[in-house]
Amino acid sequence: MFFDYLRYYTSPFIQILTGIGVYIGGPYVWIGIATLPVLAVLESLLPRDMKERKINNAFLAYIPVWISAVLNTLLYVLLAWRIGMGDYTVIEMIGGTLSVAWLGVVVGVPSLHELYHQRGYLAQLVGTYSQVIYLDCMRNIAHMIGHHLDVGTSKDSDTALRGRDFYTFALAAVVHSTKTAMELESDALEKRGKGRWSIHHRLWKAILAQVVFQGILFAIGGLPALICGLSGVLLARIWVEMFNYFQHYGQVRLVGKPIARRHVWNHLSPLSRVITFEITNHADHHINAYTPFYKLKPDTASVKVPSVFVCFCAALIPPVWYKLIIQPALKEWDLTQASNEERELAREQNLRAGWPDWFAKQQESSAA
Amino acid sequence: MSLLNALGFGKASRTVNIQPADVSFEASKNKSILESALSQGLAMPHSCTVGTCGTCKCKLISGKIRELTNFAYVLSEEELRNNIILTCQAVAKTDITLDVEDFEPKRLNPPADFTGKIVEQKTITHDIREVTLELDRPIKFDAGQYIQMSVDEIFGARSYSFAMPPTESGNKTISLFIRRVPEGQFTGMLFDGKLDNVEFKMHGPAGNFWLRDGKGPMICIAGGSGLAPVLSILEEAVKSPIGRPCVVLFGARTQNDLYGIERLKAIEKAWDGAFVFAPVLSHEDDSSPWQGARGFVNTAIGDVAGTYISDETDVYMCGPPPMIDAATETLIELGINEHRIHFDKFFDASHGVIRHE
Repeated sequence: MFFDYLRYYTSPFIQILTGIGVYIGGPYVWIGIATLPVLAVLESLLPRDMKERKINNAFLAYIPVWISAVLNTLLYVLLAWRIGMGDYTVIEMIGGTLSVAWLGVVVGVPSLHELYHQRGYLAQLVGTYSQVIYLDCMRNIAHMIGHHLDVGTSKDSDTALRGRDFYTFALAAVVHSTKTAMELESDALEKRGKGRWSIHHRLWKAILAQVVFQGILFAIGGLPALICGLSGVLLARIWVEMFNYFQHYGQVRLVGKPIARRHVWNHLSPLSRVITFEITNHADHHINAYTPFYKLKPDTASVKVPSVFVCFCAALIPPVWYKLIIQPALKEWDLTQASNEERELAREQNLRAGWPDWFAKQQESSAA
Repeated sequence: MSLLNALGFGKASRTVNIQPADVSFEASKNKSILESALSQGLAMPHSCTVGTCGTCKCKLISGKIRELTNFAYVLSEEELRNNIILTCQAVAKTDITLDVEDFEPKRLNPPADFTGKIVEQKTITHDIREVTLELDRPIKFDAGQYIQMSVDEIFGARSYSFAMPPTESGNKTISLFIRRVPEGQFTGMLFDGKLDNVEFKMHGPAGNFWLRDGKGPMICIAGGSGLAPVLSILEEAVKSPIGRPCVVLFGARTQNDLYGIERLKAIEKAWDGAFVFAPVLSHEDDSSPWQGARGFVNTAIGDVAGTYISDETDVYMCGPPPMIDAATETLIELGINEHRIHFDKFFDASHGVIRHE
């Protein structure tokens, strides 16, 4: 039980390690980004972790989430301060920025997601505005109002159609989710009798937060720190879409039909679960978004997919992603998990994507 | 929001009163109103829990709340004006009163005495009939439950599962699957038409065999006339898609003992998720062209339902006691949690009408 509390300090540990690397400089600035290939290899050797956590004390459980949430932003500040010392080469700046941006994605997205799904005022505030690190302080609007309702359907910008590569998906998802958030916010203001772009619009608060954040980086580290800061958050903005890409890729659900456990992918490798505060232990989060991360039950009947780190790498190379990761998983999903109506949708998507028609093969073999 | 409250100080909870049911509960200031209600076993209407679907909409009659996400994203201008709130996205700032019309804590219907008469007997296999009875008034029951019936002439009551799903207002006409027990007094008279004009004493509903909440796959195993409660549960479940994979294994002796196939096909068509139906025959002639599974039903569970075995798989079984015993053993070997295997002990004991005869 003690270890169940302790294991979630893996993320703060990696963040601190990254911070030390940034502080020392030289080749050590790459420590953060190097965790991606290292974890990808390491987790491929580990069996899936299907256990539930034995955690009862919410206060203790949330300490590492809060630490990680704060460290995300502090890593950018540390990088700016280190750049401001003046002895960083351009290569070191690139390495440091990549490391900090990557941590902002792999730890930032899950820790802030956990906080903005909370009901406490402070948790929501920190969870929302710390999202400056991926340039998306309005993310939770589209996430809660759009994604949680539409997941798996054609209406969901976070669910990639079969055959769509990561690069096309990410650009479309950035545009779509931003537009959704803006429109929802404007509509809401109008219903309350305020102007569509009144001062109460969350866009202005998001811009203010970003200006303050980048202003601090500039004040500490000058222009190079500002450039690194802006590059980092821009890169991270694209990168965060990768979470959606591999957590929902190719899933189908009929609009209006209830969301079931099968409608998301679950990456249940042990480090994937721990480092992302269980965001990859995903099924129950979409059934009940209230469930705190440590109470999510792994869906032991779900289709097996590799660790998030392998998926992060594979998604960058579309043929690898299609052939080795997602087609085998979707084939199993289509044939053993989908409803009859979903099978029809799935088959249409498969044919449109030019993928093998495994439904036809199944019919042939059952006829034989 | 004062700083003290934000940091977690101040009174820990507020009282929420629900009208017109007049039920009160304590709501934590770090939980939504819905979440507090659910944690105390109160069945508040809800679905998405993220402030989108609108299922938890209700009217705030008095008191103040904090919006977790802006209600205006989903509520209309008129709803906002009329103090409609989303309980899944509201925290009580003061003691509050809500108007929740369809608030109804889930509980089973208490059993009562009825009288009934047979209105139709339909042969569905060589030894099973679908018997339709007209009761003196509608009975409310949960899918999967059973009713007891007795006549003055014969000692003891027989229990039979409802072979149909319930309707909201209760059912005055009920149907049961009744198998003729060799040399059985009760079923002998019934099959011979000697009970056609008799007034039965009925008592029910009863039994713990009903559909549990859950998210894992479902495996249903039926043998003989035990298909009745399985059809009842599945036809009820299909009305509100529950999104769970479902496997139905139907154990029978030969093809002549299979029935209910059309109803199972209709369920399969409407089922929200994977649905596998596998008849398993134990005494089908070797020379027959039957291509399905053969053997006792328990021997087919691993092959047919193996993909769907997880620690959250729920099993519903109904059939002769030896089948239940054998299948339970197989299921436990396959890794199913014992407490997730549901069958009605009393139902089983009395379903083997032999015990009384």
